[in-house]
Amino acid sequence: MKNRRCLLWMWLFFLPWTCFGQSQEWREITAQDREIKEVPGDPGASAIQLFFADYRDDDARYQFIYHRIKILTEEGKKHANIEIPISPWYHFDGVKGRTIHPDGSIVEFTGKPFEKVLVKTRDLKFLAQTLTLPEVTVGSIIEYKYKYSWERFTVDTSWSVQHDLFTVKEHFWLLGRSRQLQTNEYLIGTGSRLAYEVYGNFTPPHRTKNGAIELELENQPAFKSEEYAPPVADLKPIVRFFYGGNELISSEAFWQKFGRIKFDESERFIGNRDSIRTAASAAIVGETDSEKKLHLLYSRAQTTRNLSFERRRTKQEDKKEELKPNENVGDVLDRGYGTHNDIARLFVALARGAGFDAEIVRAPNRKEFFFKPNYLVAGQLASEIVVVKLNGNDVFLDPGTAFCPFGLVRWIHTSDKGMRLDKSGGTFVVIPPATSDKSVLRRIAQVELGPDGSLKGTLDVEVKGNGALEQRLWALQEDEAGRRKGLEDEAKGWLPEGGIATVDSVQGWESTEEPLQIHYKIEVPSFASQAGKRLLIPAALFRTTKQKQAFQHKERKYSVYFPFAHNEMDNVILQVPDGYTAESVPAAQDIKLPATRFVTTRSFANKQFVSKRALVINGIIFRVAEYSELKSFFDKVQGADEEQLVLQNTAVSAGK
Amino acid sequence: MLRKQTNILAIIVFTSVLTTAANAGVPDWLRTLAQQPAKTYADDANAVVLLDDQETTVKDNGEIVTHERIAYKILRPEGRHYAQHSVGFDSETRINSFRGWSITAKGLEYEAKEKDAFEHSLGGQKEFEDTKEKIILLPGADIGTVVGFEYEQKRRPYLFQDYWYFQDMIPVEKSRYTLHMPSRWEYRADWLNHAEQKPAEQNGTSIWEVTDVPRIEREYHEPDFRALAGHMIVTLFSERATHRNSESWNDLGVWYSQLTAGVRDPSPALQAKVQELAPASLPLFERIRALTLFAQRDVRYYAIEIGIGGYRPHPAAEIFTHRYGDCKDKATVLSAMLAQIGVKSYYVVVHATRGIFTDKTPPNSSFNHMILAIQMPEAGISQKLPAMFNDPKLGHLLIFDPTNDMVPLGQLPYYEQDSFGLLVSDSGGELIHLPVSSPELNKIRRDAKLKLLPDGTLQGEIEEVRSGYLAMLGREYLQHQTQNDRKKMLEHFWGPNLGGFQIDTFNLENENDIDKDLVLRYKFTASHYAKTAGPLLLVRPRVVGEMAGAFDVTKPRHYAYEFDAPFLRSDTVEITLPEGYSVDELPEPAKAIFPFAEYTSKAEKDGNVLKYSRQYTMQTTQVPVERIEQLRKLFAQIGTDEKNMAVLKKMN
Repeated sequence: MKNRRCLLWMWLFFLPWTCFGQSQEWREITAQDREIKEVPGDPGASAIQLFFADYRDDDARYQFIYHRIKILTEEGKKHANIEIPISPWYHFDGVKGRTIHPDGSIVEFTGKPFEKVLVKTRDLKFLAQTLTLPEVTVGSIIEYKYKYSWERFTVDTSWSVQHDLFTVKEHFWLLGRSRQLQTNEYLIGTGSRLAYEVYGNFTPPHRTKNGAIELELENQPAFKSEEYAPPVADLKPIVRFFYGGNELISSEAFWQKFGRIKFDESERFIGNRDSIRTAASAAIVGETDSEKKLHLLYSRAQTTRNLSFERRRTKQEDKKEELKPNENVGDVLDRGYGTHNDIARLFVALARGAGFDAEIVRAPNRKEFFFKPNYLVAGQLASEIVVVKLNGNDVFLDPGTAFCPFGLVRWIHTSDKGMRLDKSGGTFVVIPPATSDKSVLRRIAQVELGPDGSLKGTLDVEVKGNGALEQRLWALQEDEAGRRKGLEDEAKGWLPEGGIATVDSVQGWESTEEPLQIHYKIEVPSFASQAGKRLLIPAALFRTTKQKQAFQHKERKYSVYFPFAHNEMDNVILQVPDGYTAESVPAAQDIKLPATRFVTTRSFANKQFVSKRALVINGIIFRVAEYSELKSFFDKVQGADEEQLVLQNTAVSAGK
Repeated sequence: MLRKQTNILAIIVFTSVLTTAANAGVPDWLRTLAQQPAKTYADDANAVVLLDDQETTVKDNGEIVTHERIAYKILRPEGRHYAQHSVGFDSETRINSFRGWSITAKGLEYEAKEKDAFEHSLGGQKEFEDTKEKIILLPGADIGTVVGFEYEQKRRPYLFQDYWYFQDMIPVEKSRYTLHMPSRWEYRADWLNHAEQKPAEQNGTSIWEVTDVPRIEREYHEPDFRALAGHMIVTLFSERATHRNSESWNDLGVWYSQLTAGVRDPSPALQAKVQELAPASLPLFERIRALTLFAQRDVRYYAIEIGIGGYRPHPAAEIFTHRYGDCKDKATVLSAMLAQIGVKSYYVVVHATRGIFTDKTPPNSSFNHMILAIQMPEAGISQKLPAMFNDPKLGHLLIFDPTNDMVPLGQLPYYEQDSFGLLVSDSGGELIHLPVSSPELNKIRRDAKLKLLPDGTLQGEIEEVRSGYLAMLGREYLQHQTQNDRKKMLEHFWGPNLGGFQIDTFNLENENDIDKDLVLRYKFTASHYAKTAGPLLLVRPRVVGEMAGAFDVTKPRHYAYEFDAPFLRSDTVEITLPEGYSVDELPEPAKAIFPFAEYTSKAEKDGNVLKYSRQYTMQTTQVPVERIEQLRKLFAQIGTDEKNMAVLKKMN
């Protein structure tokens, strides 16, 4: 058998590389290739990809890749160092490479690639073929092409249209498999139907006469992400292919089938058990208010040990610790542990046991990417949250997320479509986000200014909503020292340069509903500056927060994206030394946009400067068209934060 | 802030290894360690080494067998990675056995055998080497878990030396080194960063042991870990190992000289290229410069290190043909080319991190980089060059690093300055101190001509001229970026300190001409720079640039503070005031003078122009821990000066 496999590979390797669907010969160097000196619109770029090809034949089971790159700067020479990772399921069929000098002379790569072990385990071996092309200079064109093949599996593929280099011309070609496929975990159905979807703004692929799918594009700019941009997976244009059965006729059919399968699976798990009803009754005993009852059931479900937020374990560890996969909510209740989705299902069972109408909603995770109905991958809706009818209204709840308070759904699952499961396969619903007033960072500082301009005092911080939830989830991975350091580093980032924050106490790490409260001692050297008889004191103690960084540049390519809506509320009470009177107190500000607002009030009386500040960000996505207005808003915020209280030393003034 | 493991390889490793250790055969030595009373450590100590027991057996045929047992206790989540241990192997090094065990705080036990380990090749994107490592990743990596590993490694060293590293980033309770030697073999033990201890010796076995070794802590700008951590170097001698030991630097030089014999032989193509690049009609220094530039720019860095290839360069002719190579290849091809114009050059083997080799370091081969000492004939010396080393025997040697393509002939990269390297001559070798440049050669001079508008907007142009290592850092930061990205980087860099900052035009001069100063010029607008306060306008005259270094005042400092190199930074700012405003008050001048540094500044009024100037000179590469309080004061004074404001008042 081994010999037969070897022969098959040899056959594939020695076949002329031109006998498949597309030409795999070296392409001619065009006049344009020779003349190009810089990347259009991006001078100084290190290299430009003149041509890229990705040809794949799932019947013949091979893939062919071709890169032609022109080196434009010294830095660009790094593109001659090539590393081709090959999965264990693929056979590498060889690489050819060459360097074409500006004078047209060609230096072939005549060596053999080195085999680098990326990782080798007892069962698997991930290798990379590495090579470096010779005699590369600025102005050289380098090109290399390689092919790999496989015997058994056919997996869904994709075409990444945008590369790290500007690409002058690219050519994609895929011939789908004509025979029945094996099902893998990503596919709901079986069959050889091949569907594809286009994400991004470019000319879509077309079908060729022989049934292949083909795409030719020109002048694709290099991909560059931006700070506070939506997830990269939502920005990069791509064509995704999906193998499957009849469910691929349309996305509606796919998700309907998905919904039916997941509904059956979750209902089987939830079941209808006396033990659950008993547990529900015990949880709400004596309570008559519906909302309070539901809250008690929610709290009961959340007492379950949540394995999804613990360290990843090996099977062996699970076995030693006697952690078994739960088969139903009875197991979850009896064993006292479960995954995110187990706990969501337990809550549904408890709620139903107490007479509530509760359903599972399969939710997306926009930390990775936003839900795309045409992206036919079931894993998009992997998490389960719950919708409960309460006093005639739908209430979305997230019991499977550790520390998620009643009434809140973790931000990663909100502002996006999820699927509410029912017998017919489910319906899409938008999972509502929490408004900014639900996620608040409140900072109250009581500080005293020393004669040398340094500042000392206390800072009380209260975090609630999504902010508190994320802090608590982070803290699960940390010990006491790590939590303290994390909090101190965060507070240090708020304070002016050189500021020190020392955690005095923290309340609420283990709480779900209560805000997280942190008490710090703070110090800022040289907070105020002396200018002759005057003392100049910054009106804001806290630096304009990170949102400002998203608005640093005049122009932006992608939307600005904040994970969740939130408010910052600050109150600073600053005691100044004796002998000063206010010469100028910064004026109050109130700057508004539809989804943002910034309000300040400042006063000085009886040696006390009181500065209040509120920043409201009540949105998560700010489109490019809104950017200029928003940039101006945040410039004003920064300007207001940098204003100064001017005090005069009365003794010096009188003396003068 | 939750960490999520997304790396597919990591997932594969995690799910595919360690599936067969059902009945853990934890050895007694580890079980005993797990049961011993726990000591108390700082709350940020991630783990503790309970025992590191390294046993080295030298065989008469020159083989060295290392048997090591090492046990850690995980004290914090950050210490979980100690449940992973790696052992290297290559064509000359074999792993005879490798196992690991863990005992959790709950008493659960796990075992992993060599077959459960995973392997991977070392080396990054710019290199290929044949060295691999086997890694065991133990289950049960929680706080309180004790993990232990035991392995045996057999190697045939190129040089007869062994190392005992007994100090770590975590505390070490006990570390032991045992040396078994055959008769006719001798050793020398050299201690670094720790007081010497005598071994217990019996029947050809020597045993050293240290206990309760404190951890090396992380501090801002501290010397490299390896320059601080205690360790012992054992040099082995035998008649059977002549020319493969390093009793002296000279021996090491002889060994390397023999190893590299013949690699600098030229090919006709190389000779022709030298004639083309460096014709005899040019002055000698220009000929040398042409060849150094070729080695820097036209020989791309790519390392292929197989077997002895970690030490021995490829032949110059081969490197020249391929136009790629690693540091020693670049030095080799340059040396071969220089020879064609009658200039002799010598290898200098160094460590690319300062402090690891000092004048007290015993002869050893743990270098990681190679540069070149170019013997300068008198005719070739037309100027005083900072990288010049005067050797009593070899005369004027210009030390040059062809691997760094941003440092010109005549200068040394900052990380090699004030370090020590092995100069390999034809007859042997010597450890030399690599020269340090003066502050005047490493300058940033910033001149700002600005205009303040009545609404607080600041507009104008800043010219920044960088020389020496500061030019190199500037080039590293900006050279490989596109024009658009450079602008964004500068906006990102300055923006947080200048309200409404926007670069209007931007220009970089001499970015590729490394012999010249790097000049950065930009025009900008900061729309919310000065702050209005009633009739007053408050202006920070410093405008840009923060010079105080990072310093943690909340903890006592243990180690010296490192600077890249001596430097001189100066700013001159002229702000034309808006019409109708005059300077009402100015900040006090600053003057901070210490033995190692000086900072001065002053603000003054000149007509309707507010002038601010400052100068910061650092004389040294390292401020010792005894002077740390002075350094803290210096940084505090700089910080205060940088925040100071001038008050402008609207005239009636």
